[in-house]
Amino acid sequence: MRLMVLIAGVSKRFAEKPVLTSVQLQLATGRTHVLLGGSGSGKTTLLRLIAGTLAPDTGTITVDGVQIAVRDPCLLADRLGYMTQEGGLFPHLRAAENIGLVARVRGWKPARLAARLAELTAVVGLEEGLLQRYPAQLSGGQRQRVSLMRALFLNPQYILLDEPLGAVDPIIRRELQETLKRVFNELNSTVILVTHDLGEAAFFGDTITLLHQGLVLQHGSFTDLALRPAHPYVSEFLMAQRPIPQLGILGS
Amino acid sequence: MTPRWRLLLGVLAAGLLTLTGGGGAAAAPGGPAGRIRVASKPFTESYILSEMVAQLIEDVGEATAERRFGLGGPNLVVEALRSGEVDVDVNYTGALLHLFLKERSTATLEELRAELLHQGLALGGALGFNNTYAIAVRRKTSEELHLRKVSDLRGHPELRGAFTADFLNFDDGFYKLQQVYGVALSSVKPMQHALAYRALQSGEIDLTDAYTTDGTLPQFELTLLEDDRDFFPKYYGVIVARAELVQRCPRSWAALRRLEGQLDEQTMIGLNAGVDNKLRSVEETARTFLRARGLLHKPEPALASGVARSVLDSGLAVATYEHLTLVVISLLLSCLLGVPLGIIAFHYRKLGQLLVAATGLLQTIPSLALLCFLIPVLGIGALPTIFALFIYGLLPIAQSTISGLQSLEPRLLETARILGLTRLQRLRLIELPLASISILGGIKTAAVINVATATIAALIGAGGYGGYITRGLAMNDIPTILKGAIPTALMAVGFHGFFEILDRHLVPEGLRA
Repeated sequence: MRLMVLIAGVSKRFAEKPVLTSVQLQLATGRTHVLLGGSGSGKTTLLRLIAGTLAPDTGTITVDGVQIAVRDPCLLADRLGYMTQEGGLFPHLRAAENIGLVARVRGWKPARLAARLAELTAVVGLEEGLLQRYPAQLSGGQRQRVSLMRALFLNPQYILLDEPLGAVDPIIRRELQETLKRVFNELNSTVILVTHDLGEAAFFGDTITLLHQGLVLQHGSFTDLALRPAHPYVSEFLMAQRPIPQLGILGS
Repeated sequence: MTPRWRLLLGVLAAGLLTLTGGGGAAAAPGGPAGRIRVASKPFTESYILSEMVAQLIEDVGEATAERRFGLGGPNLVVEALRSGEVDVDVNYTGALLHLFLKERSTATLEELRAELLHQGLALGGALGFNNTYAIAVRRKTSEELHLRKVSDLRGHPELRGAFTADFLNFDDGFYKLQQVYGVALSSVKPMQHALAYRALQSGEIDLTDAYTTDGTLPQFELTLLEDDRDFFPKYYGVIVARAELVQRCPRSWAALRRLEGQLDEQTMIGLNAGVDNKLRSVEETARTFLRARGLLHKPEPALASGVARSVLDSGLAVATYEHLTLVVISLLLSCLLGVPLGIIAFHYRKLGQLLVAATGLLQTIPSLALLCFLIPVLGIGALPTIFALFIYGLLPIAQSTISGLQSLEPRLLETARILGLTRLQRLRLIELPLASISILGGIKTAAVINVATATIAALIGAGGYGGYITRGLAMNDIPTILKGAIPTALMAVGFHGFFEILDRHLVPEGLRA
């Protein structure tokens, strides 16, 4: 059995519109993989296919040799942490209830739940008092930390993140990026992170997969993409990030 | 299940237990020979005659009298007698002949009595009056056109008629009358009785059907045309009881039969007029008459008892209890089926659309029509009413469940899936709590609708506030209507308030922030 995510010839259409076309990828375990692209590139769809909430039209996805299929509950659920933009927290549950939801359903005893909660509170750096709040009573950054705790709760082998920092302001984002990177390194899990932000991709990605209009244009390290672009769009995407102007230029 | 929802079920179950427990106690028989349930139909004369029957029973003291007044119509009352829902009523020979023998003009009272006995019913002798149909015209018109008899109408096709739906449709009704008398009118419209009198008074129409013992005839200055061809069947007032009652309460039955021959047409018109013109209550009218004829033997009860005692026998508290029972039980059933129906409809679109369309269709059946369909299956009383209310509550609850589930954010539900919750876990822990505001809104709507619709219960003997409304409408008595309408409105407001409070406990705190 090969420990990796293997995506073989995967295509997906929504209402006859191709969203992914013949995607071919190997994502090794224990690394952080970034799916990078603009809106409509198919990066989020690819993540949903790996999670098993969508079925591909053609092709297969195997995780550690097991083929992913749409099941109820999701096939990978117990080995998978998931975090999305704005956290995807359930508004009717307190932060602590959100975090422990799945473990509680799986029959964890309260003492074990509390211990794990305390452990993770320290890991992600959340104030303990915030755990009894509802999502609406938390700031964007706090919600993301709660969401991260929920994703990590069952100590998953795989962590899927869909634009996890898309909706927080720059300073908080920087803090969260560091928290996430530290956690990823400590856990040694396989991380698949979707983003449209080149800087974020470069910061996290052991590998970066650049998608455009449902096609994988390039898969490699940031250096590969920057120095050896496989397609003109790769350079275009990389150059599109406006550099910070020199103070001297601003002053003139 | 979250503790909040357990609370809701607890509250509802406790309510149900209280109601049904109380129901058992209230239904306990009273007198030595049990109780006699006296029915009446919803019009003045029937209220007066049935009140006389009830007072005579109370005077004998052999059994207690239970008033089931204001039932929907003669057929319904006969149905209720047959099925044992009520014990005694005053009916009309014409109506009974129509129901039992279909050959009204030829059969004698004896033949009718034999047929009724065959059906388990006992028939008394005629009380005296003949309350049949008659054609009424303004006194002024009758004088100007020299109209005395129905056959005098022949030369006047220009006269405009408006008749009750019954009279237009019965086979001994208006169309047959036109044939028999050779009368043709240029304009014939259906119109409700009380409205037709007003239209006649204001000159909008010239003719309508009336009853020969109608107490409002003098007030509207109407003349009844003589039925010179003996067209209309005889509607003599007669007491009808369950045959079993005659054996069980022989003294009561004997007392009732002493009413026979006591009430001629002029007497009946006078009694009706007294009530219709609000000079006397039904209860007082009956008591005064029975005393005057020496039919009551117990001494007059304490002064002002007639005023203190509710005319309807069942007081406001009983009506409230009955009304509440109907609403709570039917609402509970609507919830138990409506919410799952909504969930199914949400998950299986095609089946859901079908189910919602079906409940929508049921919703459009007028409440009285629905009750008519239900009577052959469920009889009369609380059961068909609860069933009808249950049907009416289904749609708002199912609909609100569907829209509550539809309004949920798909990304949030996908997150729940990816986290590994099964379909049932998602429903219980995520979807229903998130949709709870909408679902409770639907239940609230259903409750308010049910409180209002439950007033129809009176027509089929299930009691409630509708008794006052039916009676008030029948006798054009606004205070009595209000006695039913105001508590109904208050109960609707009460339910609304109750659910507002329940909202605060059931809707998850995080959704209210």
